[in-house]
Amino acid sequence: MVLIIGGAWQGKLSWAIKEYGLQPEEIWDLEQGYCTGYRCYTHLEALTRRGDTAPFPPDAIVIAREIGGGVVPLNADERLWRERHGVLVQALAAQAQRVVRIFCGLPEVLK
Amino acid sequence: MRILLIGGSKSGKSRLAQEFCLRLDGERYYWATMEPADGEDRARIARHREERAGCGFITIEQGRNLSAQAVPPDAAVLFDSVTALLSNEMFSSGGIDQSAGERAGKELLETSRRCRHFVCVCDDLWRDGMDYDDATRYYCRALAQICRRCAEEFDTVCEVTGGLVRCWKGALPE
Repeated sequence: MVLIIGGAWQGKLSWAIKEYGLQPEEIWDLEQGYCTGYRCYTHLEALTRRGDTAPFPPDAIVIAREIGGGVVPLNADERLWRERHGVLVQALAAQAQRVVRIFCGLPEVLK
Repeated sequence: MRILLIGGSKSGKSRLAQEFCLRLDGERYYWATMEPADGEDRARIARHREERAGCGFITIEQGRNLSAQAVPPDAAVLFDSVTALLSNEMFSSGGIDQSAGERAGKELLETSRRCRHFVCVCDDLWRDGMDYDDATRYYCRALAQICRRCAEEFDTVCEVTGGLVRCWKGALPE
């Protein structure tokens, strides 16, 4: 697995498309629920917001927004979402062969 | 040389930008973009201007509709900040100007290309997971897009935290 993380609108998907030569039909947007058989899954934060889990294929490219860089919200749902998201990102990062953080369109290989 | 410094508020990016400018040659200009809203803003501007005067910066104030003619071509410019520039361009008409991001990005890049050295700072607003209203979301996205455009062609891109620098692209002036 490859895990790509970074803040909102930093160019994570654009970088993945270029780096891995992804075609549009190989990319699944997790805003639309989960679906097996894709090479790249983007918007992991939409999945964790719903409280879903997904059996990502071992060779998947997963793209996740960093959402924990602000004040912990008073609202319990918002807090639990950050918790679920953070825990899943850590688990995926632990099992991924490669973890890349994107900042301003620029990559940094963390693992 | 062109440098983009990105960091949270009070991370030390403006101070570092000033430090890097002082290492560069050319006549030094501080390009202020803040449009004061009240007495508190005016007091802060006056204080900053005094601090910089001792370092030999000439201050110019232009918060939108940038024109590179405002500084001579051999200038070393500290542009503070991209954050304020976009805010002025997007919101000062009363509503939301949807074309502001594209326009501000173009003005900023064109201005930077005409300067001998250009050091600009921007706030990091993209990692808090907040669900903002449409106007704020639009603003945050446009700001990220401007930074990515700058990052593509600038020599150096840095992240600043706690007054410390991490280079994502290029190197710092010696």
